Order: sequence, then structure tokens, then C-alpha cells
Amino acid sequence: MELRLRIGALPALLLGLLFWSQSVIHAQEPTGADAESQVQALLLDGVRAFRAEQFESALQIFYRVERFGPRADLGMYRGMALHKLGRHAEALAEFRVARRAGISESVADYYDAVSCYRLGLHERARDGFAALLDPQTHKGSPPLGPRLREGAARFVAALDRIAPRNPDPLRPETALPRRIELVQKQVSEATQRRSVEAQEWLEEAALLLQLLPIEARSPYLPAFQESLVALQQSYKAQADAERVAELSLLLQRVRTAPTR
Amino acid sequence: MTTRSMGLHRWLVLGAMLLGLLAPRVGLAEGGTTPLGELRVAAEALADVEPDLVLPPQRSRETPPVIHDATAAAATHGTADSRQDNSPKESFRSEIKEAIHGAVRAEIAREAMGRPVLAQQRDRSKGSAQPNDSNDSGRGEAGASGKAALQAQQAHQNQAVSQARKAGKGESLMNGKPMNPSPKDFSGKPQALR
Repeated sequence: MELRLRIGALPALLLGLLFWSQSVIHAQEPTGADAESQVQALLLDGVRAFRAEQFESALQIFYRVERFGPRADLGMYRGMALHKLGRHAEALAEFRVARRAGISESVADYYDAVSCYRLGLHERARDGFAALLDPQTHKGSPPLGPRLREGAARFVAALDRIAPRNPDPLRPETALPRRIELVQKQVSEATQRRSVEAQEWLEEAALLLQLLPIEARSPYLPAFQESLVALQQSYKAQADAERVAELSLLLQRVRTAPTR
Repeated sequence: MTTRSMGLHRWLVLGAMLLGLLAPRVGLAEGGTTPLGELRVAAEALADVEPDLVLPPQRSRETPPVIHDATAAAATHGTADSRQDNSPKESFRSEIKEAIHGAVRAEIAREAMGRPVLAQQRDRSKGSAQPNDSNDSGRGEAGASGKAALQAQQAHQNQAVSQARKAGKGESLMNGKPMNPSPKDFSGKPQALR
């Protein structure tokens, strides 16, 4: 009889221990599992607002998530909301933050490429769509669905019309030197305005310059470097070492990378 | 029931309870209804797949963004609550605008397509070709569609003028109350073509 009682009490004892340990864990880690579940719930709210096309509301929610601490994937969520609001330069900056943190998501990369296209960053858009249509890339996330693959192909076709790789002699605006001049003008203006677009245009200029042989880049380098250094100064003032380093790498690439 | 089987039963109950406690977290972590999964679905459905579509910027009242840190950005967004209700309206308005533009373009194209038939009918009725026609045929499709667009616009203006005149008459007849024109008055035929 005594033995039976002991066996019967064992599950109850274990159950009690389990609840007690849970409460101890929660008391010791107030920002642990609870915070994560709150973040997940908030992100879901944001995504639901996004799905309901309440993009401003979704963006507000995604900014609220940051209160729980920095997250690597937040840039992706915010980038998509900003893209849908037509705030493409800011969207690109957010996508860059996510990429820097190692986030690779094909749908986000699609939005990134469309934002580039809408801003007129045609070389970047072309590279983005080409990578999306290449089955070798994006192994970390599910590949694009048929709708987005078709969309990517359409954008590539549009880019071939607007900014052909082999310029049309009857359309001087498609010639590479003309395109570089226009982009450098955008770089300079955006840098003077201290606009968030400045880095985006600098990266576009870098891609275009890499289409030239190394020796043919030198006439464009002083203006490029001047804008880049000005931008670096503003990032240094914000103690944003990552961006400063990114820009240094960009300059190095333009100086030394072989023709694309 | 033996003591042994009762003990087993209790362990089973305990196991089920443990499973019930832990399962929701495991499910969320392994992709049940995760935000990322939901985002993928929503983003794919709402993605922009039309290169020629030009969407109006939705933040015309904002100053251009400048380089700043994330907290400043969050602060800026915090004051934009009033805008969040307007975005669906604006997108709805832009959709309507797009639809109207599309309809106008289609109408112009239809006018341009139907123009050679109209020209042939006019030639038959007059018995000789107009000198302008030979000029137009030389200009090609762009010229034809441009002229068709002008004709459509002229017809529209004429129609509006005749409608306004008739409405004016109606008002005088009906002692200031608005009156719709009767179907026989409202021929819809442009005055210039009468």
C-alpha cells in the first residue's frame, strides 16, 4: 500500500517540479522566451498589416519590434514595407542592413531589385534580377515562385530596352560614358543633400565604372572618390564603422576590379 | 487493473501533458505560422511585377530623407499615424486614375483603328479625296492616332458645349430646376462633324 502511494505520487511530483522550474526560468530571464514570443507576435501583426496593404501601419509595427533588441532580419521586413510605400532608397538601405547580417531571402532580393529599377539604378537592378533567375543562387531560402520569376524576366526585358548592355548608336543616352556621367551627377547631388540615396547611387556608379577597362576609369575616379569620401565623413560622424568600411571596399573595387 | 498498468497509465498522462506544454513553441520554431513564412506569402502576392507601371509616390508631404540613424527614422515614422489611413485611399485613387488613363488610351487607339474606315466613307460620299488625307497617310500611325485623339477631344468638347446649352434652355423652361436633355436632343454627334 505504501509502495503504491509512492508510485502514484511520482508523476504529481514531477509535474510540480516542471511548473516550478518554468516559473524559476521566467523569473531569471525576463527578456528570454517571453520577449521572443512577443517579438514573434508583433512581427506577425506587422506581416498581417502588410498583407492587408496597410504598409505604413506595418512599418510602424516593424519599428516597434526593435524595442526588444536588435534583430538581423528586421531590415528585410522594414525594407519590404518601405518598398511598398514607394520609399525605395530607404528600402534599399534596410535590405543592405539585413544582407550585412547574413540574411538571404529571395523575395526580399526581388523587392530590392525592383526598388533599384524604380530609382533608376539600372545596373544594380539588372544584377539583382539576373541573380534571382539563376538557380545556383539563393540556396538558403525557397526559390522565387512562378509569378515573381515571370516578373523578374519582364524587368530584365525592360532593362534591355532602357539600358542595353550594347548601346544603341541612335540613342546616345544609352552609351556607357553618358550613363556614367548621369549617375555621377546623381551621386554628387545626393551627397550634397546628405540623402540616403547617396550610397545607392555610388554603388550604381561603381558597377558602371567596372564595365570599363581599368585604364579607362581614371577620368571618372576623382569625382567618384570625392563623393565617396564626403559620404564616409558623414558615416564617421555617426560612428558607423561598417558603412565606412563598405565604402572603402567599394573604392578599392572600382580601382582594381577587372572589367565585368 | 494491476499496479503496474496503473503506473504506466500515469506516465502516459504525464507525457501527454509535457507534450501539450512544449508543442506550441516547437511548432512556431519549425515554421507553423511564422512571421517569415507569412511574409513570404504576402510579399509574393503583393509584389510589383509590371516594369511599366509607374506608381505615384505615397509620401509627397514628407521632406526628402537624409542620412541618419535608425532611431531617428523610427521617430520620424512615429509622427506619421495620420498618413496610415490615407495610403489605401491613395492607392485606390491611383488605381482609378490608372483605369481612366487606360480607358482613354484604349478609346484613342480604337479611334485611330477606325479612322481609315471613316475616311473611306467620307471619300465615297464626297466623291473625291481631301488633300489633307494624303498628307496624313504619309505621317504614319503616330500622325493618325494623334489626329484621332484631337478629333475625339474636339468631339468631347462639342458635346459638352451642346449639353451645357441644352441644360441652359432646360433651366429656363423648368424655372431654374436642372433638366436632363431628351434622347432625341442628345444626339452625341459632334457639332464639327454635322
